Amino acid sequence: MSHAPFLTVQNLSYSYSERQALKDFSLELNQGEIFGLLGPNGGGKSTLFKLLTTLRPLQLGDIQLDGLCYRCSPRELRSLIGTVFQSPALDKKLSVYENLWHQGKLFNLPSPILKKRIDLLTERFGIKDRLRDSAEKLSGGLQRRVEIAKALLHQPKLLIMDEPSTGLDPGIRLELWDYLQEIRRSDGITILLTTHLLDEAERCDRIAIIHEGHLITEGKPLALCEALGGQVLSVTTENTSDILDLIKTELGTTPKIYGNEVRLRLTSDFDKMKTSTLAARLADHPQVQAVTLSRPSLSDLYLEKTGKSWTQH
Amino acid sequence: MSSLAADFSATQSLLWREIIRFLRQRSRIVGALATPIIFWLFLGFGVGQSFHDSSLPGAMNYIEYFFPGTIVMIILFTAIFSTISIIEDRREGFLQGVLVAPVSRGSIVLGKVLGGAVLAAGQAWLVCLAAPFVGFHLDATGILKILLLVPLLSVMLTALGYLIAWPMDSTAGFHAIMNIFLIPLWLLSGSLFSVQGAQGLIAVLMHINPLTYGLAAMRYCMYPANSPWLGSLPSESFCYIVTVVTTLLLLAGCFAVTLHERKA
Repeated sequence: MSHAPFLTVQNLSYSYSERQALKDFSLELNQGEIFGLLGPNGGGKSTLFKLLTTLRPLQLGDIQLDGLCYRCSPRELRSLIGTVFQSPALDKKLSVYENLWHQGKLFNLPSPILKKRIDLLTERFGIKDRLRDSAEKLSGGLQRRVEIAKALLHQPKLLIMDEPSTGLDPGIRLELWDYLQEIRRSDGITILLTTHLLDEAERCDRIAIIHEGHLITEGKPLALCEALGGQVLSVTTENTSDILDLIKTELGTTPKIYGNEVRLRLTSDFDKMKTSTLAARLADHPQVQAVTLSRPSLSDLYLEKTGKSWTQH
Repeated sequence: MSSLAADFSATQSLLWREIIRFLRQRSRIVGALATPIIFWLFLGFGVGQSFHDSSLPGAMNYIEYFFPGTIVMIILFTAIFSTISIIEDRREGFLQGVLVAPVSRGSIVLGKVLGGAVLAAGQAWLVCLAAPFVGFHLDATGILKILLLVPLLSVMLTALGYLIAWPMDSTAGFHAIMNIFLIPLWLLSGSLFSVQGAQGLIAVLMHINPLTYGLAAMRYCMYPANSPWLGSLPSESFCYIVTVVTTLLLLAGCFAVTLHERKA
């Protein structure tokens, strides 16, 4: 790439008194991309989030955003960043309009400009008719929209969101993603988010997995899965132990059990004939509900890289 | 200069938020204003008739004695109610949103403390309007002094509340501190009984309690200069020195804890 990256995280290390949360962590983001951070709880995601939003000072390493360094100009940096926190950050006693107004004034927007921005954003997020309502009367989905509008008021160049879909039902989640794609297109904004949802991770341009303070892997979601290679045999059954034994005897490797799923990742040199025959046999097995033979998904990648199942984190 | 303007805008907005929130929560108006007034009336009429403090000059009744203490109590309660919201703001995530704004931490402290202080001073002044009806004849100097002392005490007690609330993560903890520290602070300030009437450890605590001097300054505002009452109090200028120094120390403490934000 010819131009410098928009956000550069260089050799970041961060320790709390009792443990090290980030270890020599580096990452680069390009302008206008949607980047997803995945990883088990306690893996360093939230520490990175706090450092990027300037809530905590840097210890070792450096961060640069759009040519500004975190150590030299934290205040200028903050005006480039919009943040959506995991916990709702609206004042429930204030109306939607008052919440937005207060935020605009915290970012020192002159009143006429602030009015225009509120107008524009509430229109775009479909909350214009709720401006006078108190924030506590809004549904979870609407509150999230107000929070995103709030984070975008000062026209940040980087939008950082911590688990933006927490507590939202799937329909509203899809809507949220439409909005994100739209603001990326219209404003050229760069979006960095953390997520624990597979479908959300798949929608990102690029993702990175953080585990035990390290960057484990990064890249386009599809490319990362393809790079894993091979196939995945997944069997849904009530009798997981018998099926596990059966697969083990036939193929010689031990699958893993997740709830009522027996799952085996087959490396690229696997025996296709043997596997297809076994899959067909399993499909006829009275205690088996479903059998699939597919390409590895993000959850397989996640498991491979962190040793933890997607649903556990 | 532009960063100063940004700080001013932030302080102003935080102050405005405090006032709006207060006006939306009726229970807070009741808690901060009605409680001390009821307390004052009950104690003034009830206790006042049954007991006689031998250290009180005969000319003064208890309802008059207790009035300056009631004003301080209104300020204290308002300060408590407005700073306890820091803990809720932190839990909800609102505070984080403020901390990532491109403004200095100092402007956040000022916005919050001044917001609470404006509410406390407003209510205290309102109740001071009742002074002439309960036997106080305030002269121009007295009124002027009240106009200055009430905001000073309001900043002092709101800063104290801020300092306690900032590092806390549960409102239950704040309530505990309120019961074992803030209420006794008020009880031992000479509001209910005079320092002269106290003995032993209580007398020592009352002497080292900075609020004792704030309350004494309040008595100087309300009682006539020739009142026998004032003779037993520390000198007026000393009272102001203690109050101003305490306020500045508490404000410095607020800036320090906010700059060294650990929990985010």
